[in-house]
Amino acid sequence: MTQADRNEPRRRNASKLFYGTEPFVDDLPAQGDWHGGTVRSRIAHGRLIRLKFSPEFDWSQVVVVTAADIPGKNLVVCHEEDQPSLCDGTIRHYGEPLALIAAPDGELLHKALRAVEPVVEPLPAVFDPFESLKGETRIFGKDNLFLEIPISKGHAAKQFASCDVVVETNHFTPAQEHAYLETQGMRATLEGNGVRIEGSMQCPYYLVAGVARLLGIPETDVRVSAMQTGGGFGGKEDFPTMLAGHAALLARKCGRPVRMIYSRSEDMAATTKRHPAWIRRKTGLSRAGQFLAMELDVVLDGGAYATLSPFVLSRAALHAVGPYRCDHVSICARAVATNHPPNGGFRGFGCPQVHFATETHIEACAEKLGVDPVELRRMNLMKPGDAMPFGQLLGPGTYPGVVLDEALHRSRFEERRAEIEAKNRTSERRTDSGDFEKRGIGLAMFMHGTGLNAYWEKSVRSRVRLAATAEGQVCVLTAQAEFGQGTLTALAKIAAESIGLADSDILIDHPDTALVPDSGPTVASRTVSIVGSLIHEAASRLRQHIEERAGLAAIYDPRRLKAAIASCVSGGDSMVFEAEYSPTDDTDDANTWAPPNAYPAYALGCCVAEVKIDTLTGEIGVVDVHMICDAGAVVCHRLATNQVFGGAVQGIGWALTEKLAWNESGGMRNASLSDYAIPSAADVPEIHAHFLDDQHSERYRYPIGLGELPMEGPGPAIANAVAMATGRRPRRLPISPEWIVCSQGPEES
Amino acid sequence: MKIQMNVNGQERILDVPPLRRLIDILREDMGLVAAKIGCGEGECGACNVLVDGEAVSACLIPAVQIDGCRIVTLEGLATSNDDALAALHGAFLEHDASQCGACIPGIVMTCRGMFDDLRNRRPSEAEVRGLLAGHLCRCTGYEAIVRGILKWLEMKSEP
Ligand code: FES
Ligand code: FES
Repeated sequence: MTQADRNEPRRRNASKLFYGTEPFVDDLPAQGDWHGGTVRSRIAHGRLIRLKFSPEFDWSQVVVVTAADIPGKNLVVCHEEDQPSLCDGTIRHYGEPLALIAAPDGELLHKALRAVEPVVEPLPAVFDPFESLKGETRIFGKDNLFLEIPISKGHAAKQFASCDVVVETNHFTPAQEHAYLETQGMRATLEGNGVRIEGSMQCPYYLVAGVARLLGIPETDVRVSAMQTGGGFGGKEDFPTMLAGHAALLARKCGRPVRMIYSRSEDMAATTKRHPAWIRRKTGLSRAGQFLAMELDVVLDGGAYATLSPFVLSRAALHAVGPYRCDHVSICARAVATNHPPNGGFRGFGCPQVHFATETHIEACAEKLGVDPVELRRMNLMKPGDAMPFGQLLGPGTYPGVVLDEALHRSRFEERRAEIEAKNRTSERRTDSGDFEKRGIGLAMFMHGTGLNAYWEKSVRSRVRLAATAEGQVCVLTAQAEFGQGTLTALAKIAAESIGLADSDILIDHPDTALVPDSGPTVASRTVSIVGSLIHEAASRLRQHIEERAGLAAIYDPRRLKAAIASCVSGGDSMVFEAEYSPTDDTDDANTWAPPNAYPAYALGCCVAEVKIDTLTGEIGVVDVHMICDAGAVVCHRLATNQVFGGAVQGIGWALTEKLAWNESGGMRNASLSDYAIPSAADVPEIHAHFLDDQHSERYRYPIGLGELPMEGPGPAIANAVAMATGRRPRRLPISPEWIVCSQGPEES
Repeated sequence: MKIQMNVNGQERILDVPPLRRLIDILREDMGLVAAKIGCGEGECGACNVLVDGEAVSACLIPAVQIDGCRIVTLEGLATSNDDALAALHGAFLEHDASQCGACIPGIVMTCRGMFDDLRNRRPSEAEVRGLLAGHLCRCTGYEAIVRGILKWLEMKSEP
C-alpha cells in the first residue's frame, strides 16, 4: 500500500471542481454588474500632472474614480503605510493604478480606458537595487532601504583568519510570476451602510481592514466572502486588498455591483512577483570540512512599495544558513526599493532564494576541499539542540541528517552518481559519433519554519470557532481560504478526529467574515499547523463538555457522540467553542524581524534531481526528481503528496524556463502565458514524493506545515545536477540553454 | 450577425457581433461557466469545449466560425449519462487530480474529446503527458492528472 492509498477523506469539493460547478468569482451570475478597469501608468517614475479625457468619448455612459474620490485614506493597508490605492501625484512604477473606470459592459469599458491619456513628467528611474542604495533617485524614506536585518553570532570576521580554506561565491535568483490559473478577480456590492466583497483571495480579513480604511467606514460594515480561488501561491496574499478597494470605490460611485476581473496580461504586468535576490556567501572551513565562519549578504529587490518585503526578508535572513551548524556567523539582509512593480509573497517566501545560494555554495566548498559534497553536508548538518545564528535551538526530533539519508537511499543517489560519471566519460569520447548527451545528478537540503515568525504570529491573535448544530453536526469556522491546498478537507479532518465525529458530520465552507472569526491569513504554511492546532484545542473542549453533560466517561462511537451533541443543542445549550492562539514562550517584543524563537517548528526536505543535457543545443531535461519531506504529522497523505508534486514543478520552472523580461519602463515585457513559460506536463518527469512521518517520535504527532516547502528544493538540486553534467556551476537561475552552450567559465553575478 | 448553433443538444439562434469569442457567448450570454478563462490566447486549455466532437479552445473562436456547429460543454456532458465521463470522474477523484480546479474542466473536455481515439490503444505515460501539452496547470505538477488519466484508460479497456 502506498502512502496515498490510505483510507482518507477525499477532497471536499472534488466533484464540483471536476464538473466546473464550484464557482470562482467570475462564474457568479451577471446580476447587472458593471465591469471595472484600471488606468495605469506607462512610465516607471514621474509626476502625474493630470488625466486627459478624450472629448470624443461620451463620459456620461461610465463612471470614473480618481484619488480625489477616496472618502477614507488613500492607502493599501499593509505593514508600511507607503502605497496609495490610486496615484497620489507621484508615479513610482510601471502599471501603477492612476484611476478607475466602470462601465455597463466590457467593450465599453475598454473603449473608455483607451480614451484616457495620463499627462506625466518623467523622472529618472532606478531598477538596480545597488544603484538604488546610492540614493540618487528617491523612492522610499531617505535611503531607499525598506528594511535591514543584521544577525550575528560569534565573531565571524575574526574567525576567517584561522580557517584552512575560505570560499566565496555570488548568486542571483530571479523574479518569478505566480501564474495562478485564475487571474485576480473581485466583486463589490453595496450592502446596508457598507460593502460586500466576493472574490479570489487568501486573506479575507486583510480585505476587511483595507476596504474599511479606504472608504472611511467601520470594519463591521465590510463583509468579505472568499470564493473558490484558482491558485494563490502568495500572489493573492496582499494584492487582493488593493483590488477589493478599487472594486469598492467603483461600486460606491456608480451605486451598482462592480466586477473587476484582470486579463492575463494585466495580471502579469501589474501584480507582484517573487523577489529577485543577490546573495554573497563566504564560508571558512577547517581542512576536515567543518564550517567555522560564515558571512552572508542578502539583497532583495522590493520594487516600488514595501508590501510584504520586510516579511520575506525576515524569513530569508532567518533561513540564510540553511540546516547547518556554524558558531561564527554574520548576516546582513536588506530589502531595497526600486522602480519595479512591488515584489511580494510567493511560495517559499525568501527561502528558495537563500537555499539556492547555500546549496550551490556548499558544492563549491566541497570542490575546493576535494571532498564529497554529501559528506560535507552530513558533517555540518544540525542536530536537535544545535543553535541557529539568531539563537533558536533546533527542536527535539528534528534531524536533517535522517532526511538526507532517506533521500540518498530512495533515489539510489550514490549508485546513480557513479553510473552517470562512468557514462559521461565514455560519451565524451563518443561526441564525434553524435552522442551529445551528458547527465548529472544533484541534491539539495531545505527547511521551512512554520507560521509567521513568533512576533507576528503573536500579534495576529488568531481565533477559531466550532459551533454544533441541532443535528449533532459541527461547523468549523475559520478565515482560511481554499485555493487548491485542500484547506477545507484538512481542517475538517482535524476537527473530525479531534472531536470523534465522522468526517461527513463536519461542516466547513469558504470563509465569509460575517460568520467566521479572524484566524489570521492563509499564508506561511500555517493553516494545518497553527490554525489546525487551534481547531484541535476547541474540539477538545467541545468533547470534554459533551462528555460531562452526557455523563459519559468517553464516547468512542461517532453515532452516539453525534446523538449526544444533538440532544445538548436541542436542550438549549449553545455549544459554541473558541480557541485563541497564545504563544508558549515570551516573545521578545522588541525583536520584530529576528525573534530568538522564530518558529515553533521547522519542516525539512531533501530533493534529488537528475538532468540530461544536450551539449549541442544546450537543452536541459529533468528526468527524475525525488522529494523527501519531513513536515511532522501528515494530515491527508493524498493531498499532501499532490502538494509536493505541484511545488516541485514550480521549482523546476523557476530553475529552467521561467524568465521574466523587462521593458524599458521596468514592467514585465513577456506578460502572457505564451511568452512566459511555465512547465507543461510534457516538460516534467514523474516525481517521487515521500514523507517521513510514521516514526514514534513526538515530532510526528502534529503537522508542521507543508505548503511552501516543496518549492524550495528543485532549484539548487537542478543547478547541482547541471554542474555535474557540464563541469560548470550555475550561479544564477534560470539556467538557460545559451549558458550551457556558451564556452566561457562560470557565469559571474 | 445571426448565427445558428446546437449547444448541448438544443438548437439556438443568437444575434452576436461576428468577432465575439465563443467563450464569452457561452459564459456571459448563456451562463455556461464550467469552461474557465485562464489566458485568453489559446495557451492554457482552461476554456476547452467540444466543437463538432473535437476539443478546442473557446477563447480563440469567433462567432463567425461556429455558425452551424454542434457545441458540447461540460454542463451538457454532465447531464447526458456519459459513461466515459463518469469513469474519468471516478479516476480523478481517486487520484485527487484537482487542486484549485481552474484547469480541470478544460482537461476533462480534452480527455473526453480524445476518448474514441484513446480507447483503442493504451497510451504510455509519456504519451499522456504529450496529450496534455496544450494545457497548463499551476497547482498539481500534473502528476495526479496523468495518473488519473492512465487509470481511466485502464478501466475502459477492461470490459
Ligand atoms: S483561456 Fe482559452 S486557452 Fe487559455
Ligand atoms: S488545479 Fe489549479 S491550475 Fe490546475
